[in-house]
Amino acid sequence: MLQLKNIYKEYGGGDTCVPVLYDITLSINDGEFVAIMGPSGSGKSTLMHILGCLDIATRGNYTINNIEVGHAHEEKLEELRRNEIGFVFQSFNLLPRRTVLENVMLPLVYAHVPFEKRESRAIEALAKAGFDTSRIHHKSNQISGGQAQRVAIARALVNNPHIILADEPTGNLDSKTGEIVLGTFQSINKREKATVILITHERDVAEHADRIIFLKDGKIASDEKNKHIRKTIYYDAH
Amino acid sequence: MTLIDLFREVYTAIVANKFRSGLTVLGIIIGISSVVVLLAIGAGTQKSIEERIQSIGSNLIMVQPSFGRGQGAVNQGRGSVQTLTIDDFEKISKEIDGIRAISPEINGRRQVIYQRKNTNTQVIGVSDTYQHIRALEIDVGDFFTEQQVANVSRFAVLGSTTKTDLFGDDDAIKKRIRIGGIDFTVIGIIKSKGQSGFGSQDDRIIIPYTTAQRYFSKNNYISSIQISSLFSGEEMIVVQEKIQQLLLSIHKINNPAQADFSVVNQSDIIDTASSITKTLTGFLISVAAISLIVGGIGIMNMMLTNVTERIREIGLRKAVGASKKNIRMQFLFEAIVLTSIGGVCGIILGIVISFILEYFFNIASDVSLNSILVSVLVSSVIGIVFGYIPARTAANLSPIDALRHE
Repeated sequence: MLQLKNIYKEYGGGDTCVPVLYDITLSINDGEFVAIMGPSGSGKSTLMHILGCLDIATRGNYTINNIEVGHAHEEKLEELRRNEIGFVFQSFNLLPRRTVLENVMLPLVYAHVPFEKRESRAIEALAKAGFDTSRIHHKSNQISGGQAQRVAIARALVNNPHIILADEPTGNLDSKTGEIVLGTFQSINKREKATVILITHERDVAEHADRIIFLKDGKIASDEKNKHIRKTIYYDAH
Repeated sequence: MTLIDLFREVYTAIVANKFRSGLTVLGIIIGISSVVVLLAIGAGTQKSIEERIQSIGSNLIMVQPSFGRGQGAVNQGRGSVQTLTIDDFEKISKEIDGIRAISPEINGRRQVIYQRKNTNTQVIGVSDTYQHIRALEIDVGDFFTEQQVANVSRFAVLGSTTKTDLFGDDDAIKKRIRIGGIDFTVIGIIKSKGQSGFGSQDDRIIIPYTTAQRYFSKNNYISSIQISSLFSGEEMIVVQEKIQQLLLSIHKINNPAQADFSVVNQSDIIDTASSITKTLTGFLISVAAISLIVGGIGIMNMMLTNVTERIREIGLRKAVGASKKNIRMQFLFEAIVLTSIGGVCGIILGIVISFILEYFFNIASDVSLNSILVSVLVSSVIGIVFGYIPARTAANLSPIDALRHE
C-alpha cells in the first residue's frame, strides 16, 4: 500500500522558492488502478516522481508497504525502484541501438538476475504486454510507436513490480493504438494484481482507471471512484 | 551487475561510436608508443655509451694535468696545462702496488703524409703496455715492443680510419709515412673500436712515447698517465688514492683541493656519462608525458561528450534500478577499456618503432621491461583519472533531470 501524508514539494529556496505540491494526503491500495489527472502545471508529474522514488518530498511522509521513503538514503530509493516499481514513459525511452529483447532485459541486469533466466523472463513479460514475440530480435528503433510502448510496458513488468507508474503512456500514440495500450494496463491490473498509476491530462484516458484523482494547482481537487469506466479492447494474452 | 554485463555494455557503447572511440584510442596509442620509444632511446644511448667507455679498457685509472683551484688568476684550458712529467710516471710505476700496466701518453695533432695523401690526425706517444691498458686488438702486423720503445724507434701503429685515409684498401705494413716531417715505418693496424663518446679511437697514430718526446714534445712533460689496475671496485679506489697521495707529495702540494692533476677512474667517467644520458632521458620522458596528458584529456573529452549524449539513457537506467555505482562503473570501465586498448597497441607500436630505429636507422634503442611497466602504469592511471570525472558526473545526475533532458 502506498501512503502519502501531508506531502509538500518545493523547488529552490528562500525568495526563489517555487511550491509545486501542497499538503497531499492519499492512500493507494494494492491492486488498484488509479489515474492521476490534471492540467499542465498541476503537479502530477512531480507527484509521480515522488511516488516512483525518483524524487523525495520537501516535507511530509511517504511509505511503500510501511517502508518510509521520505527519509531513505539514495541506496534505499535505488532498491525500491529496482524491485517495487516499473516505469512507462510517454516517449518510451527505449535504448535505440539495442534489440527489443535487450531493452526488456535491462532491469534484470541491475536486479542481479542470472543471465540464463533473463531471456525467458523477458519473453514472458513481452507476451503479457501483448508484443508479438516473433519480433524480439528487432532493433527498438525499427518498430512502431504502439509496439514500442508495449516493449516499454514489458520492461516495466519484467521484474514483477508491485507498482506500475505510467506517465502519459498514450501521449505519443494515435487514439486506436492508445486504446489498445490502455487495455493492456487494465489487463495487467486485473491479471497480475499490480497497482497501476496512470498520469494523464486527458479525461478519456483517465476514465480507463477505477479511481481518478484530480490535481489542481498542486492540491487534490477530487478523489473518487470512477463510475463511468470506459469500455476498452482488453488485450488477452492467451 | 556482473563483470560480463559491464563488458557487454562497454562493448556496445564503444562499437556504437566507432569513429570517436578510434580517435580517442589513437591519442593514447601515440602517447604510449612515444613513451616506449623515448625510454628505449634513452636506455639504448646510455647502454651504448657505457659499452664504449668499457671498451676503452678495464679497471682504468687516468692521471691528467689540471690547474689547481685557487692558484693564479687565469684559468687555462686543460690541454695547455703541463704539470705531469715522465718522472711522475716512473715513480708511480715503481712505488705503487696493484698496477697491472702503466703507460704515459704524449698527445699532439700532426700532419701525416703518405706519398700524395696527407691527413691531420692525433698522434699519441705511449709505451708498449698501452695495448693491454686500452685493450687494443691488432688487425694486421704488431704493436711495438718494450725494446723498440727503449730504442726510440720510429715505428707507428695506425688506427683503422687513419689507415684508410692514407692507404685506402692497400697494404700499409712496412710502408714509410712522414709524421710532422719525420719518417716512420708502419708496423701495425688496430681493429676498429668506434666512437668512445670522446672522439674517434680509430682516427689516430700510436708511436713509442720516447720517440714522441724526442722528435715532437722535446721536453719532459706528458699529456696523461694511463693505468690499468689489478683490481676493480673498492680496491681500485684504494690504488687511485695511493696515486693521488704519491703525486701530491712529489708535487709538494699539501691541500688536495689545489692539486695540479686529477686522478679519475672509468666508473667516474661512466657516472658522468650516465648522469648526462639520464638528463636526456628525463627530457625525452617529459616530452612523452605531455603527449600522454593530451591523450588523457582526449579521453576525458570523449567521455564527457558521451555522458552528455546519453543523459536520457542514464536517467532511464536509474529509473529501472541502476545504482550510482553501476553508472559510475559503466563509464569508468569504458574509459579504462579504451585506454587499455590504446595502451596495448601503443606498447606494441613502440616496440616495433624501437626495432626499426635500431636496425634500419642505427639509433641505439633498448626496450626494457621497465619502460613497458611504466607505460602500462601510465595508461592505467590515465584511464582511471581522466575517466573518473565523466563517470562521476554521469553517476551524480538526478534521474528526473536526466529523463527530462532533450
